[in-house]
Amino acid sequence: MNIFSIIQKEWLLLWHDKASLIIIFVMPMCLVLILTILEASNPRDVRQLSVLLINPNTSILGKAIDKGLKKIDHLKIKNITKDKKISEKEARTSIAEGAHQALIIVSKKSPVKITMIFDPAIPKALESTVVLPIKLLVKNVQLAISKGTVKKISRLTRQRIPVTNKKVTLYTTYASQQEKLIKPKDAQQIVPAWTLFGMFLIIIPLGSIIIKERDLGILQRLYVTPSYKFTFLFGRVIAFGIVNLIQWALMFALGLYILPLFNITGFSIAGHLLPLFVVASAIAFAATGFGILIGSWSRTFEQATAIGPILIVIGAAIGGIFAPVYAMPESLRAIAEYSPLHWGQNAFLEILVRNSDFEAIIPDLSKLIIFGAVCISLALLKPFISQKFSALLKR
Amino acid sequence: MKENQIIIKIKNLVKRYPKTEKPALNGIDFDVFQGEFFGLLGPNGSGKTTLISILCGLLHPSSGDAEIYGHSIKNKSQKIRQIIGLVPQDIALYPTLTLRQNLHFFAKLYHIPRKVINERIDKYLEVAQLTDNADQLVKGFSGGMKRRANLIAGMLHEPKIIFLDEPTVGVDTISRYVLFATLKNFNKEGKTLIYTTHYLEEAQKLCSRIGIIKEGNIVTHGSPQELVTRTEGAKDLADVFIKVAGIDLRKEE
Ligand SMILES: Nc1ncnc2c1ncn2[C@@H]1O[C@H](COP(=O)(O)OP(=O)(O)O)[C@@H](O)[C@H]1O
Ligand SMILES: [Mg+2]
Repeated sequence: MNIFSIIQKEWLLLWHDKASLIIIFVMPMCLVLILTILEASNPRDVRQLSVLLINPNTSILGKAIDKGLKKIDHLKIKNITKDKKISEKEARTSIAEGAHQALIIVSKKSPVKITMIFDPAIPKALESTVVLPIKLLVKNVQLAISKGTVKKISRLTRQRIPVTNKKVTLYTTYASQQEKLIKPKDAQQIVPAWTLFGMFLIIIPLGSIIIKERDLGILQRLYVTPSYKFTFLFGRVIAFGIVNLIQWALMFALGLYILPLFNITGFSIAGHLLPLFVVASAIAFAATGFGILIGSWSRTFEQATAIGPILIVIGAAIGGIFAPVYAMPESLRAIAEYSPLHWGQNAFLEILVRNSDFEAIIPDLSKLIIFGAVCISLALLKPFISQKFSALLKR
Repeated sequence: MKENQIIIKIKNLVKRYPKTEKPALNGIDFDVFQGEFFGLLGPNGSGKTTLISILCGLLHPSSGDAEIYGHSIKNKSQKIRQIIGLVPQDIALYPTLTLRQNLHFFAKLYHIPRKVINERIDKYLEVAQLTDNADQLVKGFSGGMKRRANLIAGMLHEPKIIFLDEPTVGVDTISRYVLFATLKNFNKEGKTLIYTTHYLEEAQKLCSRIGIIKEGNIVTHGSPQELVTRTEGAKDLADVFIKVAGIDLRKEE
């Protein structure tokens, strides 16, 4: 298959372009390292979260939550279910004031509703250290139920154990409305942000390969072969898509395994590998498509290597890569919606920080894929568009 | 195959580039026969590259058509692509890859079977006398070496017809000699060559038939000898050129 030869050729070309390799692999990793270390030297260290628990639920799930939470080292649980001195309202106030970091309320009846109320001042990463274990607990209990263990027991004992096998809803809110003002950066945001930035920088080597192929006349040589034009495009998307995924894997590995060596432990992917991979693939498609667009529409090599990175930096700035979107003024926040880097970052954060379901990232995924497809189409249509355009100018 | 079989039939080809007044090709009409070494001789800008690009299927003609082995070039058949080869005017190789990597890649695109691919590459490296340079990056090559590399990259798949667009521009004597020998050999094997140049002596030495192209028209064609005898008062091809095309190619250098 010559698609493999095409992929191999692209990789060889990239391999010989050492400057680009440094830009897309080494630079983003250094930036993450420096930025997270800077961030960490800014003490916002919380060793143990103090968590209030109101759990009047006596079902298997309710009990499992009681037990499970106690086992988590970094959470200091105070069960106030039967405490007459603290009402729910007072508990909420104490969270807002920062006396405790979170309040967990489990509904008494099924369908079970678990509400988690956080101090808005704590980093997102810390929130996920509460949300994730609870999600996991719920999942485990549901799994056990669905496997029928519980049903069997009920049958044997001829007793209905109140199982909450259907719906468990999780809510996350904040104890005050200032949520948007104070959302500190941490590794959980920095790592995906610069991963995205690095992935989009792939347009530099990609654009320059496309321009060289055109300027040196190699394109003609390719197009007289009996290989379909489509194969060249397809091979290129695959080749650079894979490079993008390698970047993603390395960056996340840096977050998971290297940052802890520097005592930075905020980064965790908590079993979300598959959705993260899907997001990374969508970003890879968008970035590769954008590179192909830049490469085919730039007149010169210089144009591509100047305009490309400038566009990426602008996209990063408005997209919440350098500073989180919530830290931006309202006016800028509106434009962020138009940056592909923002879609990517948002999708990453949905998974890493907000622990959302797959459904929550579908809009961002779709935007990224449509963006990539539009870029590639514009690149393919270039001969027709520029011809139409020049005909218009002539008239 | 018969000696006089027409393999390329060019029928009133016209090419107008967008935004230009004069057509680059203005009704080209001629045939190429099996086994010919056909020279397309003309000054810069006369339309040689345009004609070759159309015949290779890289450009669409504005009107007219051409047939290669009876297939219209407008169909862009994969079969035809397999039996034609192009040596472009530019050094169309990846400068940052080695020559072998380049050749391997292009050979793959021509679906040369895995078993013979290395053998084939070695054979042509030998032909171009580049065996010792095979694993060096192309960007480090001299002009002549690049030309030789460019040549063999277009003939690895051993096509029946090869289009060569000014393959000897900026080449030292040794390389020129290697190139000529390679082309002559190829022709002897029964391959058809269509060769553009603006060097007179080259055309005279190599070609069995010459077409003179000027401003997008083939003004005359025939064997070098025929052209000289047919043109009144011409002693050699240069005279023919001055008389027929009104251009002194010797001054163009
Ligand atoms: N892409 C193009 N756009 C517009 N005009 C072109 C283009 N390519 C070639 N031409 C014009 O067509 C004519 C023939 O060019 P070309 O075929 O390259 O000539 P040659 O190869 O004989 O030097 C020239 O006048 C040239 O300026
Ligand atoms: Mg030319």
